[in-house]
Amino acid sequence: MIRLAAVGDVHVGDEPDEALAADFAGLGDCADALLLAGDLTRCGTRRETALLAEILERVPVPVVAVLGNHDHHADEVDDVVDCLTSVGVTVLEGDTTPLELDGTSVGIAGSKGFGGGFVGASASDFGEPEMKAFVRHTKAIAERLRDGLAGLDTDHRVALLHYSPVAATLHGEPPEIFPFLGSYLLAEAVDDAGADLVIHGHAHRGSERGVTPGGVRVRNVARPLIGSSFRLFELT
Amino acid sequence: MTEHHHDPVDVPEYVVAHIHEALTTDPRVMEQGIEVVAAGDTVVLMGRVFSRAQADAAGDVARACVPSYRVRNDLEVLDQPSPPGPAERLS
Repeated sequence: MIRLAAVGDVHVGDEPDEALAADFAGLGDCADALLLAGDLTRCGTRRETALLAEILERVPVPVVAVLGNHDHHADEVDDVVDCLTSVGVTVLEGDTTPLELDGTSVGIAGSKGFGGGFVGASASDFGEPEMKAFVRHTKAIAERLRDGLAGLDTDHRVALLHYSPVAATLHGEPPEIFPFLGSYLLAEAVDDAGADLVIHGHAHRGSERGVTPGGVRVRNVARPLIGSSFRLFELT
Repeated sequence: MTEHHHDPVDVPEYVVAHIHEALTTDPRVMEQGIEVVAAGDTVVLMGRVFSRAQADAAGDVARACVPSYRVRNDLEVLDQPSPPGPAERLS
């Protein structure tokens, strides 16, 4: 059995987040690893990232993260990744990492993901260059997610995203913004390659539980939604 | 000649849109998930943010956007997280 703690959208700002730091420091009692589903900072500045790193370097279990749209806002993504990596965090974007925990292995395929919408109301790779670039960005991310999951040879496989692969975990958000919150292309990649669980954030007002069309469980762990510092999952 | 019946700032749909944009881009707030409702001469902010400072800043940003409106700041602050609850077993 592997115990995973997961949360997204912690949005660390310019001030220390003492509640989050205390809860994360105690993770060794209840989890074998911590998964972070993007939007780790308010806007991806060096100060915010440094404050986040101070919290994460005291986490007593392995930490695997993807970034979110907020972490990109300051256009300093390389600095964000370098800072987090320097304190031992594994930051994934289109790649994978295996974790060997208590004799059981779990592979994490991680990506920010992107938008585009869901079947029946989705953007198409058509028209203006800007629209094609938008859709092709999601397509490229989905393809790397598919390849990453397919390449994992572990007891369990988890897809770690920021954007949602399904509409079900967005319910509670205005339907008009669903295309900016996720894409069915991500679910299609997961269903094609196979996985035990998808973790994502991004939708603060969404719903916690959903399932892909192929039957893979999806969990939205956005911190404002779950109201706590993490959710716990046991993979058996 | 086209007649203009309303100042755009007084049309509720635009008021909401402009406040949303400001709440998303103002560095003191940077929050896309705040619900904004304009009713009569009042704007209401609802949802969860991460600190009292962020909630207060959201109110200030909204007031600066539409000084002629009364702003009611009903944002909740997620400063005392609840326990994570029992683990979900996935087999």
